[in-house]
Amino acid sequence: MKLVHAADIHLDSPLRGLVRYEGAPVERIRGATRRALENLVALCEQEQAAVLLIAGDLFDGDWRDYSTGLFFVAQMARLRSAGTRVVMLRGNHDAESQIARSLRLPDNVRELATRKAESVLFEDLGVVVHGRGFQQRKVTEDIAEQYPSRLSGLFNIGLLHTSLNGRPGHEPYAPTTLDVLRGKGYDYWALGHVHAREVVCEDPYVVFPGNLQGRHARELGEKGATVITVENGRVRELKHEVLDTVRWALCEVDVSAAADGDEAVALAKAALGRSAAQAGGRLLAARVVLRGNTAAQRELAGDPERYAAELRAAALDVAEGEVWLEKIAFETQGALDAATLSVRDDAIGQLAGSLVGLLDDREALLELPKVLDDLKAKLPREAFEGPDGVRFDDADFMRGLVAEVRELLLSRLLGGERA
Amino acid sequence: MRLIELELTAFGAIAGKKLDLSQRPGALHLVYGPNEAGKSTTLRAILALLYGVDHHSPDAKLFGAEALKLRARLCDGNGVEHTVVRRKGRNNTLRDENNAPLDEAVLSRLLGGLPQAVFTNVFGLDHERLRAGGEELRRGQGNLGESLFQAGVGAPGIHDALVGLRTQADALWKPRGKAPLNQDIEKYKEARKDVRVQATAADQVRAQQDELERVKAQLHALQERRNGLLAEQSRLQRVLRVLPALAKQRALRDQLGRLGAVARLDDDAADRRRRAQSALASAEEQAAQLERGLQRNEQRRVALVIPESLAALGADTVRALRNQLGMHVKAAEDLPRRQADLRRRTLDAEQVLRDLGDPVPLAEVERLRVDRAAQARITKLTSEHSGLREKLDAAERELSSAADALEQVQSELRAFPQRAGQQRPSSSELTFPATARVDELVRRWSALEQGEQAAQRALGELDARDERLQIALGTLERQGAPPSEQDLRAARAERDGAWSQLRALLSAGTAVPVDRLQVIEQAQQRSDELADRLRREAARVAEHARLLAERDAVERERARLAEQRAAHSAERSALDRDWSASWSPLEIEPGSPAQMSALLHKLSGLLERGRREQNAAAERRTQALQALQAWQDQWAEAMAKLRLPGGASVEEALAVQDALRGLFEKVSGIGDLRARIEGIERDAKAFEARVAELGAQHLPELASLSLTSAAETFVARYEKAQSDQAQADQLDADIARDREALEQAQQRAQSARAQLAELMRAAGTVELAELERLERESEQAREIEARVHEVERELLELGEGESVDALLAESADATPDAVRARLQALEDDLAVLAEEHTSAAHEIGSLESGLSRLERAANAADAASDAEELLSRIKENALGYARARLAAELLQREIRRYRDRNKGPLLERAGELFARLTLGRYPRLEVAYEDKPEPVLQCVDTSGRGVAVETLSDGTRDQLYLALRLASLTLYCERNEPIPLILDDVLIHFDAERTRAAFTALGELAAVTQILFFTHHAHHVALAREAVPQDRLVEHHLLQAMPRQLSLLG
Repeated sequence: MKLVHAADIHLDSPLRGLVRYEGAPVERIRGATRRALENLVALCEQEQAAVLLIAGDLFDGDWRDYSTGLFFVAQMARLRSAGTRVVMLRGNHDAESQIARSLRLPDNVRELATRKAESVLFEDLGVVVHGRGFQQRKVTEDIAEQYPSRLSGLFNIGLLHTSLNGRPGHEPYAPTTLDVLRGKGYDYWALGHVHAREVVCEDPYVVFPGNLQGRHARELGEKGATVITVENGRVRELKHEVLDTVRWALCEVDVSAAADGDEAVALAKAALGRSAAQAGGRLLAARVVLRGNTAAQRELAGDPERYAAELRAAALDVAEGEVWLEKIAFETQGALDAATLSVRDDAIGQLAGSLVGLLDDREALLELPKVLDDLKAKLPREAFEGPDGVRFDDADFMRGLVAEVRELLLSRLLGGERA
Repeated sequence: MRLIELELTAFGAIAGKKLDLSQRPGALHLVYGPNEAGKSTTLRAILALLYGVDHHSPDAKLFGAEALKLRARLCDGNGVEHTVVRRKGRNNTLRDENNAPLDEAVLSRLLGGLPQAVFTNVFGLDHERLRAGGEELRRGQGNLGESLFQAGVGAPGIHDALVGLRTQADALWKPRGKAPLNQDIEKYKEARKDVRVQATAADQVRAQQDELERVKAQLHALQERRNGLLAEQSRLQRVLRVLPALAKQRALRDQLGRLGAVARLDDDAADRRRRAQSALASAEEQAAQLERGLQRNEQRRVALVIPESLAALGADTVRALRNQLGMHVKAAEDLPRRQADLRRRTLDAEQVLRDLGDPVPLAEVERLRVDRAAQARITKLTSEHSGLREKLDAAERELSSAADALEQVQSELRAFPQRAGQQRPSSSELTFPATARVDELVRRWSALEQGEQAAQRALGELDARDERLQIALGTLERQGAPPSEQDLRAARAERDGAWSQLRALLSAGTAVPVDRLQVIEQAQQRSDELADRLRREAARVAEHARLLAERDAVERERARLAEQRAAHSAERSALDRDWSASWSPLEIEPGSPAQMSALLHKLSGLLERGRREQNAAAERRTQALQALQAWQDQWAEAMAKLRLPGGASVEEALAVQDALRGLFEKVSGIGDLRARIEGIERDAKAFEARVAELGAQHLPELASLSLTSAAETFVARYEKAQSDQAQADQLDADIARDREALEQAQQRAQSARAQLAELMRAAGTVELAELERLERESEQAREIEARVHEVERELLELGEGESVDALLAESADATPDAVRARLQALEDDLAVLAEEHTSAAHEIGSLESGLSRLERAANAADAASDAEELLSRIKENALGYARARLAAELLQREIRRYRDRNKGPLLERAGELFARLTLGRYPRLEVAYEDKPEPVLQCVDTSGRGVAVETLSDGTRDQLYLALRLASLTLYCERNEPIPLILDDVLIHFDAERTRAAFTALGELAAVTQILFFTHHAHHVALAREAVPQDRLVEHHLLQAMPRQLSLLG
C-alpha cells in the first residue's frame, strides 16, 4: 500500500523576488504552484496511492480568488477517479482563508475537524488517520496532546500542522515535542508548516515533507512530497519525490581569480551553467552572490548596476533562457581597505574615515535616509516588507547600504588601481 | 620614506644600472633622459618596485620573467635603511638582499599603508594630469570644496564623479517625473488592483453551484414525469397494435371447434402413399420393356455367321501384305524412268574420256584416278609458287637501293679535289679516318688558334706599355739625369782614394802639393754634392729606378712572347701534316676541320649502312633462287601423276584436275542406278509368292484373280470378318445386362406393394380410397392449428413480450378510436416536457462550463505574479537610487568638511605658491561667496580684483592646480610620514620664467619630502640649475640608449 504525504502547497501564491527584465522567462513561472499540484496528483495516480495526506496550508491566507479553490477541487476529482482518498486539515494559512472555508470538496476528500481531534478510519485499508486542523491563525497550545490513542491492529497516522519545538523562519504554532508524538504510539506522523523537508524521527516516522514548490530565494533546492510504502502495518520505505517546476538556487561564486569585471561575469556564468544543469530541465531561479578578494572589485563595486545587467544578459545565454536571476549581490573586497586608508590624514583618509565611522554611528545611519524621504513617500508599503524589503529606517539595513556606498565611492575616486 | 638607491638589475631594456639618490638629502633630484634613454622605464620601475610587477608588464619581455629584477635601498622616517629586491611572479615577489622572501607589509609600512591607486594619484604627477586637473577646476567653476578636495585626492574627476552619481540617481527616480522607478510604482498599483478585480469571489461561485444543483433537481423531476407519460404511450400503442391479431385468433379457434374429432395422421403419410404407388407403376412398366428387348437381341445374335480361320489371322500379317501391295504398285511405275537415266549417264562419261585425249574404255576408267595425297601436293605447290617469286623480286629491289646509298657517298666525296696522281677508291675500298682521331685534331686546331690570338693581344699590350715607359723615361731624363747610388759610390771611392793618397803622403812625411789638396777638396765636394742631390732628388731617383726596372720587365716579356710564337708556328705545320695524312686513304684534299668533321659524321654512317644492306640483299636473293629450283623439281614429279609433262603450267594442271573430278562423279552415279533397278525386280517376285501362299491357305477362290486384285480382295475379306466378330461380342454382353435389370424391377414392385399395405393398416382401413379421405381431414385440422400458432406468435411480438393472456386483459375494453384519442393527448404533453428538459439541460451545461472556466482561470494569480515582479524591480531600483543618492550626499558632505577644515592653511600656502608661479601676477587666492550656493575659489590680481578660475588661461590654471597640489602635499607631509614625489615633465606647458619659478618652489619643497623630477628637456636642466642653488640640486643623466643596451649614470 502506498500513501503520499504533502504539505504547504500554497496554491497560486506568487513566486517572490523575481525582477522582471528584458528576456526574463516570465511565462515559465506563471502557475508554478498549480503545475506542482498537478505533479502531485500525477504522482498519486502513478503510485496508485491509497491515501493522500495534506498537512495544512493548502492556500495562502490572504488569497481571495475562488478559482484557486475550484482548481484544487478539480484535481481532487481526478484522484477520486483514480481511487485515491484524501485526508487534509487546515493550517494557519487555511484558517484565515476564505476559500478554504467555502470549498465544496468531492466525496473522496475528508477535511478533519478544527474544534477537536478526530479519527478517520479506512477499514478496507487497515488505516486510521488522527488529526485536528487550525480553527484560527494563531494556535499556541499543543493540540497533538489531545490526539486520541493508537487504535490497535491498524496503521495509525497522525496528521498535524506544527512548528514542533520551533523552526527558524516559521511561526511557533501548535508547538509540541517529539516525546508527545512518540507517546501516541502512532506509526507515522505526517507534519506540515515547515517548508524545508525534514525527517525528524524514524521510530516512529515524524516527517516534514517540505513545501511542494519553492516560492522565494530562501526556499532552495528540490521540493516535493513523500511517498510512504506500508507493508504488514509497518513503514517499509520512504521516498521523497521531486515535484517542483521552478527550482530556486543560491549560486555563490568565488571571483577572486578574476582580473576584471568581465572575467568575474564569465566565472559567474559558468557557475550558473552548473546550477542550471542540476535543475533537471526546470526553470532555475537563481540568486547570484559574488565573493572573494578580487582585482575586479574596482569595476564591480564602481558600477554594480552595469555588471548586474551583464550577468542577466549572460544568464540568457545559459541553458537557453532557462535561468532567471533573482538578485545579484556583490560581496567582494578589493585592495582598497577603507580602514587602512582612514588612518591617513588627507582627503582620502578623511573620506574613508568618515565612511568607516558612519557604520558604527547608529544615529547618523538613521539620520542619513532623510535624503531618501521623497522616495520613501512614494514607494508602496510592500517594498519595505519582508527579508528583502528596502528598510531605510533599519540601522542594520543602512549599514549594509553604506558599506556598498563606501566601496562605490572609493572605487570611483581611486580609479586605476590594481590588485 | 626616501629612496636611496634604485638598481634596474634587469628591467625593460635596461640591465645593471643604478640611480644613486644618496647624495645631498633634501636636494631636488633632476633625472634627465632624452627620448629612448629609459626615463619611462625608470618611472615604471619605481612603481613596480613598490607595488609589484604587473602580470602583463612589457618589462619582462627582453630578459624574461625569470630574470626580471629590481633592487633598492630605502630609508624610513627614523633613518633606518632597508634593502629590498623585486622579482616577477605570483607569490613572494618581494625579497631581501639574500633573496629570502620578504613580507609586503615591510614596504607597506614604509609607504604608510598607501595603496597604489593613492600613491599614483597623490605622489605622481605628469603634465597630462596637471592639464586634466586644471580643466576640472574650470568645469567645477572654482567650487572651493571640490577644488581643494580634488587637489587633496590627486585624482581629477571629483566634480565629474559627483555629477555622475546625481545623474545616475535621477535616471532611476525623480520626485516628479517619468523615470523607470516612478513608472514601476504606478504599474505596481495597477497590478495590485488587477489582482482584486480578477479574483473570483467565493459567494459568486457558491451561488452558481447552488443554481446548478437546483436546475439539476428540476431536470430530474421532468425526467420522471416524462418517463410516466412515455410508459402510457407505449402501452396504448401496443393495444392498438394487437387488436387485429386478437380478433383473428378468436375466429380460428371457432373454426377448429367446428371440425370436431379428427385422427391425426403422420405429416408425411400422404406423400409416402403417393411415392409407393408411383414406384409400383414404374417397376411394372420397366419389367415389360426389358422382356421385349431381350427377345429382339437373341434373334439378331443367332443370325451372325463368321469364317473362323480368317478371323483368327494376325493383324500384323495383313498389315504387312497391305504395305507390300502399295510398294509393288509404286515400283512398277518407277522402273522405266530409271532405266532411261542409266543410259544417258553412260553416254556422258564416255564423252569425257574422249575429251581427255587419252582413249581409255569406260570399264578401265579407274586407271585414271589420282590419289588424294597427290591432289593435296599439287594444290600446295600451286599456292607456294607466287610467294617464291615475290621473295626473289624483293631481294633484287633491296640490292638496287643499297647501291644507291653507296653512290651518294661517292658523289659527296667527289666534291673534294682529287689528290694529284691518285685514283679515287671504289665504294668497297673507301676507308674513313677514325672519328676520335679527327675530333682530336679539330680540338688541337682550336687550341692553337686561341693561343695565337692571346699571344697577339699580349704583344699589342706590351707595345703600348713600352711606349708609355719610353715617354716617361725620356721626360725624366730630359730634366737632367738623376744621380744614382753608383754615381755616389764612384764619387766617394774617388774621394777616399784621394784621401788615402794624402794619408800615405803625410805618413811618409812627404810634402803635400797644393793641387793635391785641391783634388781632395773637389772630390770631397763632388761626393757631398752627389749625396745632397741623392737626398734632395730622392723621389726622382726612385721614379727613375722604377722605370728602368719596368723597362727590363717589358723586355723579358717581349722575349717570352717571341718564343711562344715560334712554338705556335711549329705546332701549325705539324697539324697541317697530320690533317692531310689522316684523309689520305680517301685520296682527297681535305677541307676545313669543321667542314670535314661534319662530313665524316654524316658519310661514315651512310657508307656503313649501304654496305650492310648490300650484303644482306645479296644473301636473300641467293636463298630465293634456290627455293624456286626445289619447287620446280617437286612440280615435275606431281605432273607425271596427271599424265602431264614436267613443264606444264599451273593452269594446265588445274584444268586436268577439274575434268577428272567430273568424270568420277558420273561413273559413281551409273553404279547406283544399276543396283536400284535390280532391287525392284527382286521385290516383285517375292510379293507374288506371298499372295499365292495366303490365298491357298484361307481363300482358294482367289487363285483365278490377277496379282493385284487377289491381294486387294484378300484384305477386304479379312476386314469384314473382323467387323462381324465385334458385333457378336456386343450382343452377348447386352443380353446378359438386360436379364439382370429385369430381375431388379420385379423386386422393386414387390417392395412398393408392401409399403401401401402398411399405410392402410396405420389408418385403420383396407381401402386405398378410404385412406385418401382420412389423409385430407387430418391435414385440414393441422393447417388451422398452425395459423392459430402463427397469430399467437405475432401477438407476442406486437405485445413486446407480454403474454397473450396479459394482452387480452390489457385490451379487454379497448376500442381503437378511444386509444388513438388518448395517444394524441400524450404526444402533446411530451412535446411540452421535451422543451422544458432541453432548456434545463442547456442551463446546466452553461453553468458547468462557467465553473470549469473559473476552475482553470489563473488571471488573478498571473496578476499577482506581475505585481511581485514589479515590486522586486521597484526594490532593486530603489536600492540603486539610494546607493547613488547616498554616495553623492556623503561625498558632497566630505568635500565640504575637508574644505572647512583645510581651507585656511591650504589657501594660504597655495596662494603664496601661485603668486610665485605666476611671477606675482596674482598675489593671493581668496574665497568668494556672493551669488553662489557654494563658496568659490578666485584669484586676486595685482589691482586687488577677483578673477574667476574659469576665466584664467589654460597655463595659468595649470599653475593654480599645481599650487593647490603642492600646498596639499606640504600639508600632508607635515601631518604624515613623507612619501617621495615623482614628477614627470610636469612643467612643459610653462614658459621659461614660470618654469624657473616652479623649480625654485620645488627646490624648497624637496626639503620637506624627496622629489624626483623626470624630464627629457635639456633646457629644463639649464633652468633648474639657474633656479635651484647648486647644493640643493642633484642631476642624473640617463644616457642615450645604444641598441639593445642602456647606460644609466648617477
